[in-house]
Amino acid sequence: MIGGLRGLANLDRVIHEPARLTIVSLLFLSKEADFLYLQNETGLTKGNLSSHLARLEGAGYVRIEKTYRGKLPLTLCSLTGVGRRAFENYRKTVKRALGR
Amino acid sequence: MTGNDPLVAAQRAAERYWNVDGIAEIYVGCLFLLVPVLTFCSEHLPFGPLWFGVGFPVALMGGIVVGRPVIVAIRRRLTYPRTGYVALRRRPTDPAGIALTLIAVAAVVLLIATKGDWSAGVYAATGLISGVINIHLARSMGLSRFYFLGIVSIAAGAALALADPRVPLGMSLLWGVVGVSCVMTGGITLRRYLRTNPAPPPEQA
Repeated sequence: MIGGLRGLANLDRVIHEPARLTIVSLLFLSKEADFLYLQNETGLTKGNLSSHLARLEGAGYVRIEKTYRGKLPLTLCSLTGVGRRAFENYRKTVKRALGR
Repeated sequence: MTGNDPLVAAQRAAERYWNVDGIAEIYVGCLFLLVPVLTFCSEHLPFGPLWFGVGFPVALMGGIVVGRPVIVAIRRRLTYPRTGYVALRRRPTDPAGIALTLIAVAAVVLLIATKGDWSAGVYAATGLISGVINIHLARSMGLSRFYFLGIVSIAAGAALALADPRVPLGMSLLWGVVGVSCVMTGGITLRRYLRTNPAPPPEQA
């Protein structure tokens, strides 16, 4: 493979999935966001979003906190330090491979 | 990454969310409307000059300090149950935005320095600076209604510079026009937002 393109073979598969890439991009820009915000911004169904968040949480990239706002349940998501570094590495790898 | 970085688009979308419901605009518009209100009080009520001399700085500082908590409290009732909650990380300073603002301020200082009549310069200056800030917000967030607010500010400043009324009246008119415009665009946005995003059933967050 040509130069930087070799890096594409080693892309983080946890992040390198369209829905999870969108979720991680949104969380990268936020301190925290709730489930409803992520669902609206990604356009995913509840089940789909839950499944992808579980995958990211399992990899240690996302922290999920279930709490309450008043009497209503609230699910807050934020990127961990590991998740931030993983996303930054992902971006660098893609940037190097695509030459931009 | 360059301007084609999808993260840039995500950043803009996330910042647009702060203005999705128009609540911040309505709040800022109400702060601007303090100028004509306090000017009226200082000219027609007892304790005259104190209304503006003391009242305005106190109200402005207080308005800035409590602004975010007030807007967030309103959003907890209206926005977050409908389209969700997000707390953004601070973005690094935008050099283009700072440069634009500095150029506007320099142009204004030059205008005032070269023109003998300072009051007309102040109206033009205020309108221009407010306009530039709004246009910068429109560019950075991709919200076209801020272009409208920018044009209104610049036009109001220019019109008052030509008419050149005495300062308290002129500043009241300028901030009154800008304040009403903000409340109007914010109100339209809020109405559209509430129509597009109905309140969720009581059992959902």
